[in-house]
Amino acid sequence: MQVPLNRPESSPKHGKYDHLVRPDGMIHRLLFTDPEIFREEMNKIFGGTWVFLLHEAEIPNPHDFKVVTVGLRSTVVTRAPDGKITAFLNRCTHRGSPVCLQEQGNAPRFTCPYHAWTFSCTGEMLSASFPDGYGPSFDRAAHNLGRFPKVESYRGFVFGCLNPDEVPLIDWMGPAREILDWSIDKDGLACERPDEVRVIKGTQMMYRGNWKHQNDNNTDGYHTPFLHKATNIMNQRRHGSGKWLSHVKDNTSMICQYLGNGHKLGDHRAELRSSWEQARPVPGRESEAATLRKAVGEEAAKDYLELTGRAGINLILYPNLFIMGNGAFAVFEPVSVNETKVRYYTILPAHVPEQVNRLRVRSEEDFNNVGSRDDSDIMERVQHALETIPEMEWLDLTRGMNRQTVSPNGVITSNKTDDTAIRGAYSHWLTLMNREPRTAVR
Amino acid sequence: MPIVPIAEKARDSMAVHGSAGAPGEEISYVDDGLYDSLHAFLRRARTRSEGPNLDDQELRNVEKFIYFEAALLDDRRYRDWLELFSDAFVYWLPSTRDPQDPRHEVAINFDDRRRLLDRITLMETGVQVAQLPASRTARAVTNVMAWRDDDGFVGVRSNILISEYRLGRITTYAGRQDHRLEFRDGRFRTQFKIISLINSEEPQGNTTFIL
Repeated sequence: MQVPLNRPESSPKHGKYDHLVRPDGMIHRLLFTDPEIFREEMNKIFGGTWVFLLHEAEIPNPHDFKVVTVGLRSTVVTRAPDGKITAFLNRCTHRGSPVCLQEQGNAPRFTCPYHAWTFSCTGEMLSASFPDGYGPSFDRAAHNLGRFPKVESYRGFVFGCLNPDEVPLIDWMGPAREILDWSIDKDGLACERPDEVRVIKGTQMMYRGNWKHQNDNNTDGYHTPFLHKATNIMNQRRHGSGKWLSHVKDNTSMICQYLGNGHKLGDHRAELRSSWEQARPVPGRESEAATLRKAVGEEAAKDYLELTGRAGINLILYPNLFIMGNGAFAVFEPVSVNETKVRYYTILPAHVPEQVNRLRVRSEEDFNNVGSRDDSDIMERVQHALETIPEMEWLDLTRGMNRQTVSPNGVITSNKTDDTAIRGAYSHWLTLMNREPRTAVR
Repeated sequence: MPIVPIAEKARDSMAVHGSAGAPGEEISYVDDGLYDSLHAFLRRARTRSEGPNLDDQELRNVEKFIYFEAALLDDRRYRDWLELFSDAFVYWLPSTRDPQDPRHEVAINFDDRRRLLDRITLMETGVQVAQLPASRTARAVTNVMAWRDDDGFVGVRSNILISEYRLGRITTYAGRQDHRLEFRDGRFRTQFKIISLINSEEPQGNTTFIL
């Protein structure tokens, strides 16, 4: 059945960007090349809806903080002694200096380096230096740091939103929440207390291309056998058949899904027999597994080893969070219209044997070394072509329009190799870009 | 100490570690013992307070070895380069500013022989998009200092500046290298090589050529 998927979900009759995202599945090159559209995205997408900030375990202790980027905005995320998480923009209310120069640390107060205005870890103004110059009527509360009106944690994953009118986090997640729950539960990552898991930094990559290329690519199940041909040949030569993902065909029970609100899923679980057996061997594989088997027995070790390597999902929570499961997630960080950073992280549960976490560490290095650079290289080449060839305006996202199906809950499902999920994300892009969100700090 | 860059028994270590055998038969030699000694070498390399203690002739031989390694990498002679290593070696590019135990840190590269052969095989396919065209590099290795340690190994610290040219652009990678060399069968072999880029914790571009 054919679904007119690219009709904007809830945009005005003639939205500002309707002409760039067509209902027939074509999108315009300007989405990737126009600095003005990029500027609008930073306000209407990264300022207009929920954005992933960090995992709670990155700031486990009272007064821990980490600086993240929301769109282009330097943002400080802190944990108060009562456990509450606050996000504030890293800009002094006085004259605009960042109040925090460190990337990460522990601080009960933030003192601006420029004129020493001082703020609490939840962003309240505590004092202005040499206060006599402001007189007795100085209203400290009016100079609190610019705090996000909405910050919510979902089982350890912390999101912030600069638009006070956006729907609650749980509604925004919609059906994507079930997939995240599946991953957290399977993984034993339930994070009731932040010290139950540790989060460590993984591979950090940058490429000269628009941030949406990466977002698209992570649920593009079509390119795998072609772009990653070298990886598949290497797999075969070095490790024999059956290594992930050597075997993608159009005839597959793997699927992609558009989950609404821009969220999408590449679901490979139907054909992932064993994360462990199908993994390319990492350094220390044999000795870690042997130690584990000796410690917990063959049966339990088998289950634990399945917690390493690929988990069979590529879940995108739009716009900036990419969850691969088995502890791996990544954050997309736009830098400019044609530059993007991708920051990977690895979650290490405290309750699993040490060998599992060591294997997770080595597994995180795996595909980023023998595959991901082909993706970023092709994204750079696409970016260059889109920037330099104005005569050809459109990109084709029509694959699967002839065979996708819609569930009662609105989830659209199709073959893994189809553009269904990506197309869905662009319908949501259009919704976000056509509306005028109220962004506000409190 | 004569330098014999390409061992006569060149293929021996490959055979030992199965790379010449059937696919999937190689075993990783990385275990806790190796991790421990790598971690100990890192700490040692980072905390040396005494000056280099090799005499001029020994240092000259070490320098020849380090320069020859750089030349093989610039020439993309990766199989020959592999022969400069011990049977059980680790090639490590940490992704942290102050690296600690490699068991607990994701690296830019953490390669044993098996994984390094994966990366080399990938380039040899001729269809790896990220190396079409291949990177061209020129390395400057300088400030070479070396210590003979109590355990008989030689620790070498040097600076490295790699200029990489690809697709009309030159990218510079700068950092320090720490080699742990063993002297066996008349030549040096690298047991550990650690490259610490000055921006190791920052997102990196296309590092598919071997740094």
